[in-house]
Amino acid sequence: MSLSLERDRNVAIADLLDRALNKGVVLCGEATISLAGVDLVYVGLKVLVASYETACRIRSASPMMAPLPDQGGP
Amino acid sequence: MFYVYGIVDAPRFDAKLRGHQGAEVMPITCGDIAAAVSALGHEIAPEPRAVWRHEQVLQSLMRRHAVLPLRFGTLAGDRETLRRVIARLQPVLSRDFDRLRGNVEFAVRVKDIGEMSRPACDDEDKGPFAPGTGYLRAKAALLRARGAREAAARSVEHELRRHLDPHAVETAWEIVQGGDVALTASYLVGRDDIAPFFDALDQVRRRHPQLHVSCTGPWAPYSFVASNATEAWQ
Repeated sequence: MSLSLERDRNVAIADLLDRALNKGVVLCGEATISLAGVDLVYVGLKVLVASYETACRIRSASPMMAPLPDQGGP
Repeated sequence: MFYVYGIVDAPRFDAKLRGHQGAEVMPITCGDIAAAVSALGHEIAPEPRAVWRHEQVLQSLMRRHAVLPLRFGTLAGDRETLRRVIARLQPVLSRDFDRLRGNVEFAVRVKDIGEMSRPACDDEDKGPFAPGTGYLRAKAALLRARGAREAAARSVEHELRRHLDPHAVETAWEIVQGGDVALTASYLVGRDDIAPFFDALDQVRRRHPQLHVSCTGPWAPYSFVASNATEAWQ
């Protein structure tokens, strides 16, 4: 798993945050999505907000979902 | 409270892994698949270090199993709740496993398409003009610049896809408005096709040395899971 062509760690972090915060399987239902402490993510602020909005959209489509916790960001 | 990293296509896994807060990663079985979880003592901060930990657990699991990555920050209150949620998503998770098994994701970024995206300059644009006319001309120039950048980005995308797509199972491209990154892409590549994919990338770099094309990975296939779709809940 070390075949990356890109040596720039910042690019790798940005690519990972783009994916892990905004994509991937969303388990909603009775599970909770934790997105507190938005202000602690440095390059990920924009995608984390996007992630929160996506989660809200998915939650609003499901009648069995609990409210999201307070986002706690700026 | 459990932190959930991903879904594994086996009811259990043997890897001894440490997740957030040093807790052991363990399976919560749901039929033929399992959620990879660790106990959470207190809230985790969504910092890059924590996101790396999330990815490292997934990478370790991917050495032996097909894994569907969960979005960072997913918590489950208890085992039974998590089992119920997974059972409800099982059909779409199964389809994802069938589609993604044996594949990994690479992230591609393209920068520095500057010269290619510069619009032709019209002498009539040089003014001076009355304030209203100047505003409208500036607005028109901005729209022309955006159009030129988008056309250049599409052209670069077409050229890269010509070389890279034959080695990919699926792709997802996006034009980025503003900033120095013009294009981003996600490539789903079979493990046996990683070397040819890298060769194709090197070929693109040699042919177009003026472009800055970065590639990171392999990542868990975040961009290609269908289980994040709203339809799964309808």
